[in-house]
Amino acid sequence: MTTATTHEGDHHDHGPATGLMRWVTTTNHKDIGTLYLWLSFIMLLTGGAMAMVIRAELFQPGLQLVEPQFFNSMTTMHGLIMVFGAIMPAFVGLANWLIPMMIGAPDMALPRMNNWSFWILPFAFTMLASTLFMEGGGPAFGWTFYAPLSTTFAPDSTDFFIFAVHMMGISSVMGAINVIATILNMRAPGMTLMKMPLFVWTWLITAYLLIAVMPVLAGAVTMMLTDRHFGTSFFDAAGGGDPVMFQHVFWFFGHPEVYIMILPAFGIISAIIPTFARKPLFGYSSMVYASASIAILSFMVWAHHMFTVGMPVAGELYFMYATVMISVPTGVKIFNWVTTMWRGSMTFETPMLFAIGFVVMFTIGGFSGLMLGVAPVDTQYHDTYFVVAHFHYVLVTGALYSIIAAFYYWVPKWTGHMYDETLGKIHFWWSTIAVNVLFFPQHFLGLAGMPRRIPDYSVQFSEFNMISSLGGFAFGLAQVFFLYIVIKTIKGGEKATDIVWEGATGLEFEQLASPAPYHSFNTAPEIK
Amino acid sequence: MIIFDKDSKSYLKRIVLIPNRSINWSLLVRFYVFICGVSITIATVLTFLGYWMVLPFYGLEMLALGAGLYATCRKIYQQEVIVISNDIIRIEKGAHRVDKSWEFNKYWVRITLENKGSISKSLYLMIGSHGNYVEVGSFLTKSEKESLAIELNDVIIPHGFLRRVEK
Repeated sequence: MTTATTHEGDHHDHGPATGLMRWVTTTNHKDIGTLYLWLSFIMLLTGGAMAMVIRAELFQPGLQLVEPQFFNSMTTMHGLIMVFGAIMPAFVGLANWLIPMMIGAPDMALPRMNNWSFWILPFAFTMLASTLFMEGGGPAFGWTFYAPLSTTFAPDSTDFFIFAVHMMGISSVMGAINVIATILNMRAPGMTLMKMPLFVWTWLITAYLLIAVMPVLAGAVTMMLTDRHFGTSFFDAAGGGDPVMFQHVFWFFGHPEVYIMILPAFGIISAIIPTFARKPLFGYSSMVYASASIAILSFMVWAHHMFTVGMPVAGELYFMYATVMISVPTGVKIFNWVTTMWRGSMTFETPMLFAIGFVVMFTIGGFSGLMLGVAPVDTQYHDTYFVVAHFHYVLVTGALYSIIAAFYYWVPKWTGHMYDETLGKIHFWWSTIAVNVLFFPQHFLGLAGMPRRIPDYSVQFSEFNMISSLGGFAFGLAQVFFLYIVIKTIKGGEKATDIVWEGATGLEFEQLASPAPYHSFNTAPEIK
Repeated sequence: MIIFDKDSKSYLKRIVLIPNRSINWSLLVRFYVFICGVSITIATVLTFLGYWMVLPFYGLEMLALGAGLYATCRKIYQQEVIVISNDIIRIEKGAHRVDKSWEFNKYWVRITLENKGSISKSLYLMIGSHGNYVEVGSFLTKSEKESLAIELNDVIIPHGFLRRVEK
């Protein structure tokens, strides 16, 4: 037993360390959240630059700028970087920043693991990007890396791709464990599950999805590796394997992955709309149950991505009905957001503009998804630009718009500065016009039969491709403009009040100063 | 949470301080078993289809999740015990067993409530003497710290003023 008296009065109320090592060794949830958000922005611009190469090549029919192999590498890397490098880390960054503040916890449950899960990522993406400079070129089999393109016919750099995917998976799983442990164990007194903000709920469900499906991805890429180098034939028909099973395995991971990228967005929109409508969210509990239903259904619909591989009609019918069923809980969400706005005292600050943009354009993406879910018509749409238009409406005007909305909504709390409202509105209208010029014509291209992942096309597709490319360049520039707004806001601006928004609710606005202190909730708040 | 023990022969008062446990142990175990159940089901189906390589990844992941939840539980199963006897005040901290303890002479002890910050005021309850202080109940809410400070002050320094510091 220690009998000597000890001074224990330092209270952990020190500020951050200084210099580069602050960021390398930090275990503070706000620092790590910031690191994730910056990484995702860098990845967004990197993946965006690849999209510019794609759209520049497709500006006119014929081969103008790049070789077909490099074009395929660009589509592959663009998809991988945007999914694993931009969207997912951005949501993890937001989770790091917001979950502890929203549930009244002082930090994430496992701060050191939080540091590791971030610092794996820059190495993983550097390794992935380095494949472009290797002999034989980078992976060029699409972000879905179907066998045998990714096994028998893949370049040597694929092994580095496999290792990078493993690293990303480890990072995601560690992040998910941290989120689950934090939400379950570290809520403040009185913060019952059904009092949690929807962003926290949607992240809890997302973390569960990550835990459930990430090992399938890890297993799939490992089997790819052993097929490539160790004489196994998991996906090689010549050795008794089945390449179609690769698609089943991949999409068993891949479809829940789609919801991993959209569920936190639902949470963000559910926070923003009530604030600017000045009304409580309509149907809170139905939103929670709808999110859980979407997660459960996401395990049961994977084969709608592969209607054309030749499955039995009964299988097609099952996957078609199960897919269409997802529109019910998703419809509940759209209905609740619209009903929350109904007769609210609405104002249209930038976060609200992006949130409304999300609701409208995500619904467009949802409807085109519904069309793709109908097996007979999917036979025509499959692997056309209609699919490209669909998932970009879901992931760009859905997931990315929600992340941008979240930035504008919470940045005053993070930095203590208001962003420039005029610039924010310019950013919204610029992006929204550009994104529709970019992706809406792709519906027509797809319906007319233009296949995806091709560097050249028939001349009848020229006009819509040209329009789409112009929209793409404009949208890319809009995000460079966004970078300027981000830096300007961090460096200064009008001082934000503690509550920030007139209609804001939640612990982070009601009980924390702006900017939020480095260590928040050293004393646990009480939730009435 | 604060639990006041009844007086006994060996001490005047025993106060047990417990952090908020937003989920109890049995519910957490059930949650973990549920996640393991889903994972084992998926892994088993894929293994029967010949894709057994998912198995080790599921196994490792479940171990990591279990370890993460257990480590967090250890944190929230920490407790602090303040034992006040005639001459001595003993403070003990630990989970399941005493990891650290301090003793102060009751007649010299001061109870201090420190308030720091602006709207996000953090409140620190300190017990000590001669410049050496131990923070107690760091995990308690503001109102719990207030009531504990008053209670301690009444027992230790009857009729004395509670020392409040604004920083």
